[in-house]
Amino acid sequence: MKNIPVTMFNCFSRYGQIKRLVDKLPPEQVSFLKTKMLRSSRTLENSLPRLKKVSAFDMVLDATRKALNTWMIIFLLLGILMTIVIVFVLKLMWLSPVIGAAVIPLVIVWSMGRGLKAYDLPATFNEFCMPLFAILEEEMDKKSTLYLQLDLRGSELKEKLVNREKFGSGFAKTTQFIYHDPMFKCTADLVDKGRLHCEVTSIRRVRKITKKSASGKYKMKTKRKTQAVVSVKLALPMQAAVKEGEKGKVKAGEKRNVLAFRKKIRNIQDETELFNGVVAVIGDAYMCFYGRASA
Amino acid sequence: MAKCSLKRGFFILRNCSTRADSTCSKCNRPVCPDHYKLREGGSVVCLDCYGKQKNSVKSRDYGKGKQAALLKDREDVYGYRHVYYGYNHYHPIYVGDYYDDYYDDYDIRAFDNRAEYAEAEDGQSDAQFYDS
Repeated sequence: MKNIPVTMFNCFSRYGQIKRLVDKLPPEQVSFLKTKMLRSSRTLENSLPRLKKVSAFDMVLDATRKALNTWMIIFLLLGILMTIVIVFVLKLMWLSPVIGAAVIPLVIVWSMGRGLKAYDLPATFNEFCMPLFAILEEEMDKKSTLYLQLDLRGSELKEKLVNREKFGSGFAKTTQFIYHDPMFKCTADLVDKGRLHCEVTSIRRVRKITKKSASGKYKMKTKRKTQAVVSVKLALPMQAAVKEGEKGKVKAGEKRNVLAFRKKIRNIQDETELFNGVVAVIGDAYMCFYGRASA
Repeated sequence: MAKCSLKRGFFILRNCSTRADSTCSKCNRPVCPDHYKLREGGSVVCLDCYGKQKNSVKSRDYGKGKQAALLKDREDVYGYRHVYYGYNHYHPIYVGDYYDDYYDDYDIRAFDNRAEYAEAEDGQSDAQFYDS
């Protein structure tokens, strides 16, 4: 797809291009776009171009959806304005079908946006996964293997629910849901004959609070808090030692020592914070290595 | 012909063994086609200098969690690592036999105090980190 920015005026032609492009994409990429799940085990020179292609496609799709949403708002406001003018100001009820001039395009644009939503990947892919792959690309040889497992369906699914609890009584009752989402797993063979295994599990706590106010009204509130547990296993042909106060284990091997490290990243607001935290944890694991492994 | 003086890698730095065919107009170091960017006017700038210049304004966003905005493609990794090392106090390990004082800011940890291995004649680094 040509690198032309998506604007309000070319979003309709972009929509057509996206639909045609989806038909031409390999089945594996279409499946990833539809199911938001990916499992692959390929060399870096095979897997990275495919992921970059999906990423570029997703960015164009996001821009197109944004432009279509803007048109939806315009047609909606136009419809409301026309209704007010025709029905309430001019009081010409026989002119009501003219309102369809705004409602019909609104419905068409809405259905176009819905059609694209099926292929839309969450922001996690472009703001967390792709920057991480850019870093791994520097640490890996082109011929080395990258094992990848992604689950970008989101945290709040039934199969990811691990705990449900009700507490509180009287005026305030709370239902708490805890979701464990193993969203990212990768194993990379590094250029220095090392191996990096990284797992990111998102833990989301959802609380639905129902309160009865003094006036007798019921109010509901939903609160969400996300943490991530990052597990890193790093094997390098170097000495390793875990710093005091850190949670980790070192397993000595003949040619490589393996460091297993685990950290929690708390209060994650967005994907860039998650990315920052994961890179910091991997960096902390590297900082535990020094010198040369014993012969 | 000199070899490219940029250091590859992110957590572990190592030599780029590719032959250089240009010189960076900012730091005057020899660079290979993988590691430079052509600017308007035809001048060549290495990815380290390009990254430092591009991210000098954006690095203040680093503390606000906008790091991923610094990383759009492979070229950006070099600028991002410069910001990451400074902000996270990360000391990269250097595996190689040619130390460049361009990287003095990084407080590099040497893999070994002595360069116990030399590059092979064909220009490929004999990267034996450990005795087999």
